[in-house]
Amino acid sequence: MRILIVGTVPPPGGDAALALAEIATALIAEGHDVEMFSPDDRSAAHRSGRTEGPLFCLRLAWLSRRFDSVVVHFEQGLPLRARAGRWWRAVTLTLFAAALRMFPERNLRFDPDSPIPGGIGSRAMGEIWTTASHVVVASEQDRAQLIAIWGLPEERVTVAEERPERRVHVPRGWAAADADDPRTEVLELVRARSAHDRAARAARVALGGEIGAAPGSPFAGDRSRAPDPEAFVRGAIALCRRLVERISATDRS
Amino acid sequence: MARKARTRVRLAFVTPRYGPGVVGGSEAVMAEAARGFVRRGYEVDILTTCARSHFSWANEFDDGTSEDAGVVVRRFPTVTSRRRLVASGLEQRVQRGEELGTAAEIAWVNSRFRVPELYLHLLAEARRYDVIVLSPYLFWSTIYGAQVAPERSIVMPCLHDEPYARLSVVRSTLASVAAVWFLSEPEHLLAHRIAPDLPPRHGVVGAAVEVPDSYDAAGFRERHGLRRPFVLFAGRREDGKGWRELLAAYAAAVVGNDAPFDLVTVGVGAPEIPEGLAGRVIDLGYLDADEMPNAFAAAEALVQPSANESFSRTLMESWLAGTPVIASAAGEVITWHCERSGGGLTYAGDLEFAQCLRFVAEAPKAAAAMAARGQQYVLGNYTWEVVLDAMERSLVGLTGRTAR
Repeated sequence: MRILIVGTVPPPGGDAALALAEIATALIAEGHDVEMFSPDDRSAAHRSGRTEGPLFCLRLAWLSRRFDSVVVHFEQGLPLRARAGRWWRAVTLTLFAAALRMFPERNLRFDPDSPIPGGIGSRAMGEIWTTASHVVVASEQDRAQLIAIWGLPEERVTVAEERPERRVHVPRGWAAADADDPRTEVLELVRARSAHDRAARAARVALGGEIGAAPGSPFAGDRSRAPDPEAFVRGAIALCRRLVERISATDRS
Repeated sequence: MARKARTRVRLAFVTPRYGPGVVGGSEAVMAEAARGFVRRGYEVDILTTCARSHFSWANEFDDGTSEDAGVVVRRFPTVTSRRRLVASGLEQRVQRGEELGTAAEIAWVNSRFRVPELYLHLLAEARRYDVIVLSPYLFWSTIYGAQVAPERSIVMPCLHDEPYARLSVVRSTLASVAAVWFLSEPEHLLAHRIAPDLPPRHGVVGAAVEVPDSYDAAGFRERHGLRRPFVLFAGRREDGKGWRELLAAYAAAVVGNDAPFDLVTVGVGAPEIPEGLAGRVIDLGYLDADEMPNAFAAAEALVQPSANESFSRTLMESWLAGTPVIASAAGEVITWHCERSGGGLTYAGDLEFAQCLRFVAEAPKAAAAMAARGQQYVLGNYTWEVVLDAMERSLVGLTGRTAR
């Protein structure tokens, strides 16, 4: 089977990247043709590049012709940049879901240190959840929510195993490259906020509160106050129609 | 309960190319050292790519595992960059000696070829190797491979004084590994100039060449239709190895009637012989390992125009065959060998090159005496027994274990 793995693989990336490299190694040992696509140029991957936004989704769709299966590791900057607006998020996740559907098999993994784009309950993620062949989440709570909200069969959702911490050596000079990288500051910020979001989400679940997007999440925004993109489009079209009608009426007069 | 028997010392040699048709000093040293350690009772894996050409890095060998002279050879496919314009731009900046910054340097390393599955193999298996030896310094396989388990990695950089050697990723790689092996004292001194923070375990182990059982100089001339005496250039016919400069110097000698010999060349790369030299410069292409010693024995002298050498195996092979050497004085390592051994002449410029040719033609006894000094130099310093002993001392220092 030809398998595309999308996500950061070492040398950078820490524990999650190592886990992804181990998956790749295991798949190769089973005789599969594996290619790795990393958002980090320093990765020992077959290809690297931007893994965020609509252009990446188009690239993924293009790559789907060559693979039987895809493994996507959702992490910072994949498939959404930190602080993506609602529009950007809606368009990207819609295109991302469409691109994933072009692969015969779709496996999704979620980084425990990254928030789920839009939250588990978000509509944009719904298409991605329901069409996945298999989903690996970070916690039992996430698994329970997925099954409860989206009706995913239990056997299609598993919780990532706890792994002993293992470090990848990154030479001193390469660490300096991190410092030069403007993404570093953003990533640190996102990490901090994501920890906050996860704690908030866990608290809401424990208290039986609303399940869904976490307020303040760099991905999720606040669903109670933000406009619904579809409603906004409908409103904009109606406004345009009224403007055209008024201009036409002015011309006639 | 019986104690579990201790396993043999397990070594991995990581080299970008290995196998028939591969021409390169570092690759040859790695291959022969690997086989030498197998003979000494070590368990050795060669971790390499499927590439034969260091220009295209195309996958010409099948991937997978095979065995060669007791060595387990594991081949992994290469991936080459599709961003050719970016790669070419970075290469030009490196060649100009510009300060690239770490991110651009890593992009440059990635722009040539990558071997992701070799890296994955090391990530998964590094703990099963007692020591991982990587060479040469400027390739992805070394720079990335050395990061997986630096505490048990040895880099044999084969440094030349060239812009690549001054990249910060090279410096940080040399500083991060457990030990560094040099092939010659000038290379060692160069490393101190470009990487002041070398690990404490570093030193000159040298390199070696196999001593042939016999030579067949007359048979070589006969087989290849060589009726006039000739000087030999052996190796890669490319700019980095001084091939173009040699052609220019030889052309000047021919024009000045100071070329008593033909120039025969063996090796890989397009020789691009100018029309004016047709008939005087003879390309025999790539020769089998069995035939190479005969080429050295049949020549009146070996010419070595390259300044980019960290050891120069062809010098040793030539001296072993009893053939003197005419070498460019621009090569620090080669000059060092010639001065230490008394086995070769060095030249600076076309005029001196022509004079060296005349000397070998007109004073054959003196040339033979020079070659004999070179032969003693090789036998005393650069046989595999001597070099493997030095490498083994370093391994024992690192692992505390011996194979025997």
